[in-house]
Amino acid sequence: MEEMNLITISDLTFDYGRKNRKVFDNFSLTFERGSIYGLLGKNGTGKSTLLYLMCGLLRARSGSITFAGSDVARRQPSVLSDIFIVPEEFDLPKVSFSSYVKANEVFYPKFSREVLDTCLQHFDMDININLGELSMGQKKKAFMCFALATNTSLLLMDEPTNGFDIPSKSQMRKVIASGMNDERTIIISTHQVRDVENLLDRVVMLDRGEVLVDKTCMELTEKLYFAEQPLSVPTDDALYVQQSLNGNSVVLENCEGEESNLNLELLFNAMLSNREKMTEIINK
Amino acid sequence: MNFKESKPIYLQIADRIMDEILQKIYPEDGRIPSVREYAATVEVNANTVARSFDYLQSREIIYNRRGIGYFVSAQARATIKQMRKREFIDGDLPELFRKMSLLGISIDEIIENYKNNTNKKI
Amino acid sequence: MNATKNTFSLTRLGLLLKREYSVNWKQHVYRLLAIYGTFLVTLFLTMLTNDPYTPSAQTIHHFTGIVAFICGVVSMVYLSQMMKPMETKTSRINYLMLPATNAEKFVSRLLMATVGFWITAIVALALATASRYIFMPFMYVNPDLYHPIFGNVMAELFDFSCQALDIKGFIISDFEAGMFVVMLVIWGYTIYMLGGNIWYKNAFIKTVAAMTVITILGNIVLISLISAFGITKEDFTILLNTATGVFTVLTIVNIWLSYRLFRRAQVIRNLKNML
Repeated sequence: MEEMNLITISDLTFDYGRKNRKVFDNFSLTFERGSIYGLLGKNGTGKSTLLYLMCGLLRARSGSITFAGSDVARRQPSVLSDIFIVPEEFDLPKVSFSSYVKANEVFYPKFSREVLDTCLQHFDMDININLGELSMGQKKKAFMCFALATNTSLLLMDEPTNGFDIPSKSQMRKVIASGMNDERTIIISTHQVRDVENLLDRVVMLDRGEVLVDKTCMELTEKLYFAEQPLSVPTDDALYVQQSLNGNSVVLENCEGEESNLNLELLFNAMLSNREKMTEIINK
Repeated sequence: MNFKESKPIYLQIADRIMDEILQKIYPEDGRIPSVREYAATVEVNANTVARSFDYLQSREIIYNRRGIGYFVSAQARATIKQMRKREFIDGDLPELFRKMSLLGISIDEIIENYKNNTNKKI
Repeated sequence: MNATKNTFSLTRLGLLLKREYSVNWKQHVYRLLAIYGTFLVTLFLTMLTNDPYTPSAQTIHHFTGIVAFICGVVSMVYLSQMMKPMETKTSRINYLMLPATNAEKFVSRLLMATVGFWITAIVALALATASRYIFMPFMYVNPDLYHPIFGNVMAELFDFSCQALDIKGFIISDFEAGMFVVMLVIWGYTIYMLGGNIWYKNAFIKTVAAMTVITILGNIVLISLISAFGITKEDFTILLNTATGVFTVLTIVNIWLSYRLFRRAQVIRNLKNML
């Protein structure tokens, strides 16, 4: 009954009005239900812009963005109550977190106190804290708890690990892993790929307003082989080579169907430096 | 959880669960955490953990009771030890012999070393 | 799927108001205290400058006059700040993403700027008049002022609004002149509403500046028209009624434009895409 495609972006064109440099020009992309997406790309490539466009916070010049069939730019409550964004920067009012939750949960019909409590536990926080007294990192944790508890079909996170120390990043991963379910789609936009690598189902890579990669992690590890090799091993066949601690990190075409772990950093660098060949192989 | 480059993550997670079973953290015929709970513990996508569970199920180390969850099989510990013994004999031993031949180490040196470093008599 | 209605919902409007007051109650209390303080100082100064022989009614009259003026100005400030949640990029993201229709959000902010203000002002007035016992015993005042005055002040304010319709000069009939003044005043307020939707930061000052320019230009146009045509009494009535019509239309335009600006607002502001 529910359609697989949650968000459909069709022929999107967008610019900020400056220098006539279009951020997106006839750009199309769809996001499916039930997956955690990594939205990757260099800084300035339009990731945040794309997120804002998907929420209806920015309006496209032409083309459409539909969420479960509705145009997001209309900002209808049926859509807004099913989308939540954790932006890179945000404010929280100076009240207790429990007041904040009480005042705002009513706008989200699928809100779950259970999920909220689980997330608070992972973050080792109490619901009765005063938001005005928290550090930036703590505020982000509280906001994330609320975000996951809304149980919206679409959850967008823009650079979620910014401002987190290492233990907090670990807590965040637990929170995302436990807050996910088959009805939801979570899109994590980040340039810190290492922080979220193991959580992702699918990868979308953007560069200069174009989609470089739009594949599941499984597809990528089926088509590509990632390895650490000592310097003695020849790298003529490699699609991409990068120096590492013990020798070379390489990306090879996975001719023998061997299993390896997806290394997003390597994949990203490989796509940027050997775009045509890489695209050909992952699309075979 | 920190993962190694070499082995696929889902197998490393399966290893971890098997270690926990050997350490009796999960008793035989006892329940193990759900896929999602375990995913949160190791901070990995639930689909990857589901793959680990499938792998363990195929080796009859765990079994599923619909609607209730996953449980440790009755003979799990024995099965795991068997599996690991097999992996050692099929994987680690050939590698040892290869290195021995490469570096010119004789079997007598190995036996000598074994006698000195363990308390077992040969 | 989602059962959330997309039509205007009074329940949701109520939730929006409830949210605003439970989450931002501190700011509202500060505003109340600021207005209370202003009224109290005014009362103090009024009593100070009136000797014990001045009839209490006159003192009350002076006080009410200043209160009315303060209310007039402060209500313009409230209107120009009606879109405070849109002031910064981060608060814009919060507000635009809130699951309510644009109309509900707009109306809730408008209610806060009008009814919310009136309630705040009345409460501040009641508190200020009650607080007079703090300083009155130390001053030489008409003993009548120890009797309750809040009711008198409120009654006078009500009269005041009616009196404002009485303009001297070319009065043809009170009704037409009254209508004109009423529309002019309402239009003046909607200008502040519009200003609040064009500029999110420092809207009040910017609107005042714009209004000053408009008023000067408007007066120049009006005076040139009058001197050019040498108006008779009949002409004046027609002119007045036309003006009333014009300002009514302009008021509606202001309100419509304010709502449209909000509906089309984006998280990153850009002159090109505002309308």
